[in-house]
Amino acid sequence: MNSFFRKLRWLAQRRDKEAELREELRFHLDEEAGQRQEDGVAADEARFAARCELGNLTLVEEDTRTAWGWTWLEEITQDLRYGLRLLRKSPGFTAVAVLTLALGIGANTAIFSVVNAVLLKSLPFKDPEQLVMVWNRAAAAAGGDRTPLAVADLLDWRAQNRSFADIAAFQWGSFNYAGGDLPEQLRAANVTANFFSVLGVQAQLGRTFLPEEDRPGAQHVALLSDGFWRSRFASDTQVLGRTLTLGDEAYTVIGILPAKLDFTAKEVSLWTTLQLKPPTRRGPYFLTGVARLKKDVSLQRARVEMSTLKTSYPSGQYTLSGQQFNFNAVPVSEFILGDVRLALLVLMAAATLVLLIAAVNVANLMLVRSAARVKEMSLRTALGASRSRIIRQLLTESTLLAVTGGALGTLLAIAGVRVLLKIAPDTIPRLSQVGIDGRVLGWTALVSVVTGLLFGLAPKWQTTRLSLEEALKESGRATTESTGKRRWHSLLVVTELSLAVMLLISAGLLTKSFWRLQRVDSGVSTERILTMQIPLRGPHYEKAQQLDSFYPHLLERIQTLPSVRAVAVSNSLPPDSNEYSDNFSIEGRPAVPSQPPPIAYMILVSTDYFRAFSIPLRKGRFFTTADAANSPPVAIISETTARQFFPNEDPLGKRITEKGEIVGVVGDVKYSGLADSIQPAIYEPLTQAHTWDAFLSVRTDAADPLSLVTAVRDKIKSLDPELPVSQVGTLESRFARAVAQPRFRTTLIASFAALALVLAVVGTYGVISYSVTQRTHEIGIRVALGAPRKSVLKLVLGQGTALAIAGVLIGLAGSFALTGLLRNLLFNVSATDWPTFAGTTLLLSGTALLACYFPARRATRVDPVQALRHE
Amino acid sequence: MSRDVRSRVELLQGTLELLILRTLLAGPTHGHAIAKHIHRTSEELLQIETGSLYPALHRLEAKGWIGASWDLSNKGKRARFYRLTPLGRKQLVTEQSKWETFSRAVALILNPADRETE
Repeated sequence: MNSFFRKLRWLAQRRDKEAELREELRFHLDEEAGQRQEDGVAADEARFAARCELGNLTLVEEDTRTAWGWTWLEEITQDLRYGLRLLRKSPGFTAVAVLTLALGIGANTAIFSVVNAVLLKSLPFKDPEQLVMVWNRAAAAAGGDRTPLAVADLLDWRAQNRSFADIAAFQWGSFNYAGGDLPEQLRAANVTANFFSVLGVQAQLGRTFLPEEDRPGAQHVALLSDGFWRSRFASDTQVLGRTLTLGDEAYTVIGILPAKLDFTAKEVSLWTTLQLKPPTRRGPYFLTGVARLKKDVSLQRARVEMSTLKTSYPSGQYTLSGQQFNFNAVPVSEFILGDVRLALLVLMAAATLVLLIAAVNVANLMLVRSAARVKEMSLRTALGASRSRIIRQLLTESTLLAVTGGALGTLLAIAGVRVLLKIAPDTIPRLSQVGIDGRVLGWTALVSVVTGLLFGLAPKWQTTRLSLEEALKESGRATTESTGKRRWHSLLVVTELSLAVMLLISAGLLTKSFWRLQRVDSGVSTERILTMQIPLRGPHYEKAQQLDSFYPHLLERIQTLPSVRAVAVSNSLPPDSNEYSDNFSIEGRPAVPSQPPPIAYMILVSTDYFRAFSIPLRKGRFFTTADAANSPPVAIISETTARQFFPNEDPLGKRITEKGEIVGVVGDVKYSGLADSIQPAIYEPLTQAHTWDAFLSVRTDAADPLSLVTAVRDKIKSLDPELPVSQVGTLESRFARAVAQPRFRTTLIASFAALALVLAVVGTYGVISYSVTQRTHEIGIRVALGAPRKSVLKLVLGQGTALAIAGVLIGLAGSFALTGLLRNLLFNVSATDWPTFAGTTLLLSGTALLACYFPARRATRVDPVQALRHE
Repeated sequence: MSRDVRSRVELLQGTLELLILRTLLAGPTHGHAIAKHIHRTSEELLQIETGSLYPALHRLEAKGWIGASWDLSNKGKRARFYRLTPLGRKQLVTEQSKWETFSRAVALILNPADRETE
């Protein structure tokens, strides 16, 4: 402590100390000289000898100052001041370097802020690493890896397992709610009573569910999401205990959930309890499980244990009987983040590549500048500056650049994040939490400093290695570039070209994949179609007959609107909204016990559905008004269904046991996403089957289908003023939404690749251009000795070509090694798609050569007389 | 320059500080005089480099073992005089006994014969 204060005092008296030290050393010299004079040496010779004996005065002073302590601080301030002065003196260099770094760091920071919010912030659950989502695993046709659970599964597993502390389950749902300004449909989740205790989530107000609240006949209770509570009840705490009418039931509000409950990307407004009746058979399957692993039980062990459990319920007639079901569990983070994680990591890698390229560019600039400073450095060395001291000073300069770039980059990132959030699809979870926080700033600072050291070190190593002689000799007249320096430049150019190749190829692959995804034949025409969802819940629609009278009236009334071409109601919509699939059997074909029964999407449609979506008829007929409730049941199958189940026969006239006679075959339509393969589909007329979750689709002549919204809503209101309407939009926007995530990542990667290309080309141009300047003398001699202009051009272009080839080759090799990581993000494009690789190679080598051409042309114009006189 | 070639002894790390402290035991004096005194007293075997003397003096001062003040030299010039502080005096005792132990130990190993004749 004592010495600390002494140091502080010294620091305050630094200036005096300096003067004292100088005087002390002067006294020493005088004394030494005086003594020598006494020995009989001449005055000036004595002084000289004394001076020699003392050695490097500056060094002695500096060493002594070190003894005072805290000199490092002074040295850093000194370096900073000097660095700032230098940067101010060459504003062009500074601007280019800072801007390049700002772009690199800005892109990196922007993406990191998303990664931070979406991937890094821990999930708002207690010990989230213990939480797993559980499903049944079945064959793809029966539901795949994420086949829901039956109540029986839940009860069996709870009773028999030894791996989990507890297992909860939930089901997504919705409620019609008329308590707001407009009747609306609310997204809800129906959960088992232990759901929140399994997650480890407490209500921010009130309580979560009690164990007895999920038994059949228990009182209806509901939890509100924070967002719903704020927007509809203005955060009124009095809402607790109040009754909400949801559908036709009364629910008591018992609590408000915390704001950050990132269980899904979409906002769930209401949480209610499932009321599960004791099952009599294993099915039906409609639950998703959430389980908490016991401490010290690994997911692996749980999987093994669970697969040995036996079901204690008989399989029912209508269940997915005969299927081999297996236990499946994935960490909750994987469920919530899904393939967003991969996409974001790829983006992060891309942004880092851009930053590397930027750093390499600045390294090149520094290298060029350091060449001009060789003389300064050798002078400093001659005056006794140690190598480490010079390195420290140069590193301070580069860090100064990097930090300035980082500060500007942060500003760019703040703007960038705003743009990002605007174009990001809302299917990315936790986006609302994206922002520039302490961790992001810390990252930026780290990245800036590391970048500074990185691009700072390359030229430094070279500068400080120069011997004194060499430097003083070389600095006077440069005949050619020194080979060492040229090697550095070449290395940097090759590095940035190869990084750019990797980035361009990744961008190329993703773009091609996206392009293919968008051009996928969905089987329908998407133009000029208005769609919306009308859930028929509540007392008016309890009985099927009530539906039967509602739909025809609705269709009829909307049909009368001007510019309506066709109107249809269906339970599914392309490209990715399907309500349910079911197994079926074909009459006259006995089921094979060892084989799973066939499964298809069951799509309920009104008569004009095919016409509204322009789905082509392949065989037979469409539904007509004659296919009424009391007429013989009929069905239409898709081409794939016909191909799979009636390979060598005419399906027309055959009967599907539960559905009726096949009267037509229509073209395939995508119902499970554009990227998925087509699954079999069976269409049933709405008159002969029932659905309460209906989509209304209107094909119109109007250029903008949305212009019909008010008219259509009015018609719906005239039938039922309390019926909520949701998801209003064009079919095209539904399609756009389905590809929103690939569009997002493709746009970003493509922008990064473009940035990388520009930076790499500018870098190449800079290096070749600089090399031509350095070689002016050499070129002058060549021309004077009679070298034709063409050979000069070849000389420079040759240098550029060699670099481009090396860069492209390394980049290609790197791409082959790395694009495999993209495989899961690619649709219908191989990770080593040769046209993409070839195209990128051409693009990059072309632009690189172009970047060399201009300096090369300048080289051919070198006037030998001037070049030689230049010395 | 007619400097005779002397056999010089390289100082061991940390020894310089001990020598400075010991020199100052005789009374306050300036840097040049300290160097000369060490030079003379060691029968000209030890030549203290200015480049290490002043850093060492300032280091000792920073540790608080010696103090410094400006005074007039015997020739009437302003010089920086160093003196031993009580802390430095204590330190000198420790350092000196440490050195003596060390040098005795080295001597014992280098000259085992001496011991046998004892």
